[in-house]
Amino acid sequence: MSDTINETITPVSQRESLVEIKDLWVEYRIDGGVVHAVNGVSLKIHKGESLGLVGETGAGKTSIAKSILRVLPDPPSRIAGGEIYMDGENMLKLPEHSMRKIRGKKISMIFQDPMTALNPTKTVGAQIAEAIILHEKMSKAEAAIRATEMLETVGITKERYTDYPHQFSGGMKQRVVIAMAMACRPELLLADEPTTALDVTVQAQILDMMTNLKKETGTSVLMITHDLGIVAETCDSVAVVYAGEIVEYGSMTEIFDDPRHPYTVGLFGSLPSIDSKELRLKPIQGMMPDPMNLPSGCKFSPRCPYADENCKCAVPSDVTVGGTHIAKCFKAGEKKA
Amino acid sequence: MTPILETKNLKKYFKTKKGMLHAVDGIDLSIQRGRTLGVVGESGCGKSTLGRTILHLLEPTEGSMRFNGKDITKVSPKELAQLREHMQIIFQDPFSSLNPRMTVSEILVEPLIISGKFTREEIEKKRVELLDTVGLPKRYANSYPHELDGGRRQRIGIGRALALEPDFIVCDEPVSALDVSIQAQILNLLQDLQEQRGLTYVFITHDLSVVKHISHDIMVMYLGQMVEQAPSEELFAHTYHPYTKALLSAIPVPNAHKRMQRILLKGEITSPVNPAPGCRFYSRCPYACEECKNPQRIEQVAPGHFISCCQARKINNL
Amino acid sequence: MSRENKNATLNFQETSGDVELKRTSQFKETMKRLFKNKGAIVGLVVIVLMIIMLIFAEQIAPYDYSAQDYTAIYQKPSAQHLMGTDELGRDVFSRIIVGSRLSMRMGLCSVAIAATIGIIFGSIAGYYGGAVDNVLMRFLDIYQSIPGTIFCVALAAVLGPGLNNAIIAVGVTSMSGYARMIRASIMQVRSMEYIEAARSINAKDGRILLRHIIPNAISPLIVYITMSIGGCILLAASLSFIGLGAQPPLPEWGAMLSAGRSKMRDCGYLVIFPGMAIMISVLAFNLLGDGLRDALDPRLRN
Repeated sequence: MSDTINETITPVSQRESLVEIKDLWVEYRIDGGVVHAVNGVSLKIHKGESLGLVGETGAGKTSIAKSILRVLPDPPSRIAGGEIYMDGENMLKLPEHSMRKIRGKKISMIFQDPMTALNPTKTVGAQIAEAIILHEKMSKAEAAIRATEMLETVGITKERYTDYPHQFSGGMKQRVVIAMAMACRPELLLADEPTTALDVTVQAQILDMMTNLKKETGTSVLMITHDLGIVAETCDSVAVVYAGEIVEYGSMTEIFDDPRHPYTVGLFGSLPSIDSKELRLKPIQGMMPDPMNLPSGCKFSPRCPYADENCKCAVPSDVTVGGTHIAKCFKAGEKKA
Repeated sequence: MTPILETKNLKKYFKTKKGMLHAVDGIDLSIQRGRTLGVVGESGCGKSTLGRTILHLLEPTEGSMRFNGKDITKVSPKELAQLREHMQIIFQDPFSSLNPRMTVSEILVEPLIISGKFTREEIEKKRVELLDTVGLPKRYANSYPHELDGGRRQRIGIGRALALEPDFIVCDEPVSALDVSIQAQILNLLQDLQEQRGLTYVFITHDLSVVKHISHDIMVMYLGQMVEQAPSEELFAHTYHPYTKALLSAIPVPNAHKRMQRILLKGEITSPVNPAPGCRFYSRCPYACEECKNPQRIEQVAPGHFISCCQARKINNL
Repeated sequence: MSRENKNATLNFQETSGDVELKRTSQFKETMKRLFKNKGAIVGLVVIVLMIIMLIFAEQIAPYDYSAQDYTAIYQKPSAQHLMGTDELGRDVFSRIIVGSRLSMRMGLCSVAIAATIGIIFGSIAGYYGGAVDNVLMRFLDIYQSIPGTIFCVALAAVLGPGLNNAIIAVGVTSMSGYARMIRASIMQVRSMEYIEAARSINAKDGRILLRHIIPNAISPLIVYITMSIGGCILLAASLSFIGLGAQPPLPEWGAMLSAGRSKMRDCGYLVIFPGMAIMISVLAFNLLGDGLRDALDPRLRN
């Protein structure tokens, strides 16, 4: 039963890079100050890779994803620095009409609530076809055929082409949204907590479908989630986000077998697991810092059981633990789990 | 030992335009003092309705309930007021379950003010006590709910439920809306309180890992009916009902090397309005057969382990 | 279960990165947001000026509003008569100032009547729901199917001319908006979990209504009331314009407009000043109402 997760021949880290984020900074200006949502994030997504972006609410994961597509509302948000490369071009410097060609075609995004993407007054078939026509030169009839194929790929019978969103359940709506997002065969799919609002049995169906779809099309996936179980099941690599920074990164096995950053360790300790026999959970003390008032030194130091005086003054840099595994911690060298 | 709470054939139906919605359809419960019954199921299974019916926030349509041996199926307002001093509820949503125009202190002591049995000094003392019990620093006493985050707001909800010192608390998905690390803090708090005060919980959730952690006994519900019920360890060691099996297999495991043999259910949940007699899981069950269309009986397959499935013995080679 | 673990959960340390506690009530926050809105401040300033004007009308007005001077009829605005004089030699400026009392009185009193009737109506419908709600709402539908202005005029005609009758007419006509507003508000609040929570701790209906529902349902109504003061002033002025409402010699702005209409070509000032007075006061209330709505809107909260 314990198969290797990566069935591909090339290990993910050696594949070509698809999207590279370099030193991204995002802030939001609001009454009362500036929210530092993303603080110097650098990340590489490779072709055909499933990268899990893990963190709790307010960590900045959604801001990172929305920056890639440049769909952050400006104002109040602002990309304060950094570059995002795809196909050799810095997307942050592209004019808006070029970005429009990318959205939905090269990079697509799906969200937790399917109704953010679905128009309640149009049939689902028409909406998928519309997404196709926007990017590909096709007649309406051809687009309709492709849309029907997409519906069947995501597990919806073609008779339902003419149904409206309200006639579908939550899980089915999310399938429609996935069909829309994948209709133009994007190279990268940004999935922001796509199954959080679904029942666990429906979630299993959707994740299964997404895995098969990904295998067929070779699309890279950036899976944003707070659920480490989903990460274990669907992702090749993991980036752990805390207070707008990537505090740990590595392949899925590296992170799950040997987490080095105290926050990652804390996350695992907070999980009530089906397997474990712990009587008491080991939650992380305290709360995530206020993004308007981030602590000096290591941002996790106020809550960290391993922190010392140095941690509170100096900002740690990325320490290579081994292979592709890096952790942003002065104590990264010590085994913790 | 008289169970603290017992229900027999408890039903709650709602009249809708399309017909009768069978939200809770014949639930038998028996909970001993100081234990936690976890009620697990996905959306539409009726677990929240069950919790509210037990507390008379909804009136039962049929069936009976007993609290400490006394029949509480029909109660007068005065009896209900007395009952509420022993049975309380913690809500799921820490945002909508607190009045945005009341301060933390006001929310915590409101139950005491309403009961009218406490002097001002006693209420003041209680206020300080409650803040401490749920781990809220005193400086939040005059804050408003919108100034605090989800975890702290949930602590307020817990404090409010504890104010009248009840014996029995229905916890309606109390950690579902919280982040993982905050979830862990709250779960630990609930367990500590149970140990210190001998509280009995009905813990409603959709999250099987959470329920395993906190419950002594677990009841799995599907479309208003009990499909399987067993002590916690036993349920996970020996899962007999096809739905429970599917539910367990669906949970993504945060482990790099282990994988569950996934049972994927076909189709979607059917409607609880005017349901057909017989097993409600019929349309999605991989083992469905003709006999499943008849009303199912509840069988005991092991000590304390009950299921409602005509095929269970065959499937599990019992 | 060790001691350390118990302490770890119950006495956790607050982190240094925690939010600094600003103990602001929602009211103070709303006021802060309101004062950031320039339009609202303008509106508020104008209203305050109006209030000062109407309190000290006798001191500010250079002439008695009904003092007639046959030697100075139809005078254009000058140093002696800042806004000119009307057909009876009365100083327009003084009349405008004193008239502010009438307009404010009409606006506020009719809103008070409309709000009271509307809130009682809407609260009953909203709180009890079901058949009660159905009956009351159908009645309201019929009520609202009669065009408002016509209904108001007809009612004022039946009651007879006079300022107070005009106030009653405007008030009764406008009540349906309040009824629907408070009903919708109450129905929304009723479905909130904290109402259920209040029941679970034994709160009786009365306490739930007063302590939990009304304080939370009232916000949209505050905006609506502010905005409708302007509307009521306008409606009352319209009644005076057609001869119902304020009767001469009362210097109600609508009546002044009506009187000056025939001489509009030569003595434009007779129409411009009352017209502007109406416009500015209605605008002031609308700006304030707009600002209040934005300040109270939770979606604009960060």
